[in-house]
Amino acid sequence: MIEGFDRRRRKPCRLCENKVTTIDYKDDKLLRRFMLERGKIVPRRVTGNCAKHQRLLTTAIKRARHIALLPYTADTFR
Amino acid sequence: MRLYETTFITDAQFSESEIETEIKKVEELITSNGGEIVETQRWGIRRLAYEIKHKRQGFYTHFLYRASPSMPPLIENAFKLNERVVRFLTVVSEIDLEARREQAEALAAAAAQITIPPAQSMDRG
Repeated sequence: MIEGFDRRRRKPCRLCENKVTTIDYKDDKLLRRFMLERGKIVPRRVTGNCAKHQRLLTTAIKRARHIALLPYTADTFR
Repeated sequence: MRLYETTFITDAQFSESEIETEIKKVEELITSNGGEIVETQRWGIRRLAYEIKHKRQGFYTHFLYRASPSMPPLIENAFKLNERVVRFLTVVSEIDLEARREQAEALAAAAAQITIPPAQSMDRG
């Protein structure tokens, strides 16, 4: 358990550091960085995001997917 | 009156004028019901991240407008009935217009101070 706990303390929330307040769902280049190659959203424990920012991020990504700026899964469309 | 953002995608094979008529329709719908359009963006033809109606490209149009809460359902209804529109999304906008204006002014002010020397002293050759 200690190892798990330690990793969380070491990784601050990048978005908090840059005082990000809103995440624009139209900014697909930025959102893309929080998605895996297959089009999946990167889990919080990997990005180190705090809960608030991760929630903002997921809604933005889901909106972008709806208007086809981002893929749902990357293998359907090369 | 709240600030909304609406994006819609039309099939890329339509001509400029056909798409313009669709855009005009939405603009009239907003203004006639007491809404106020802040910005109309035409992103043009973009590659879709996945196929919609077997098409890989679409013409994107984006509106930023102020309106009463009863407005978006009207617009969405119009989109549903309109075959040309293949996808649409309306969102309560999180854009802070004042902040954007301030940044624009700050940028303009900064740009004003920068004096670029005349061209001939710039190029070496």
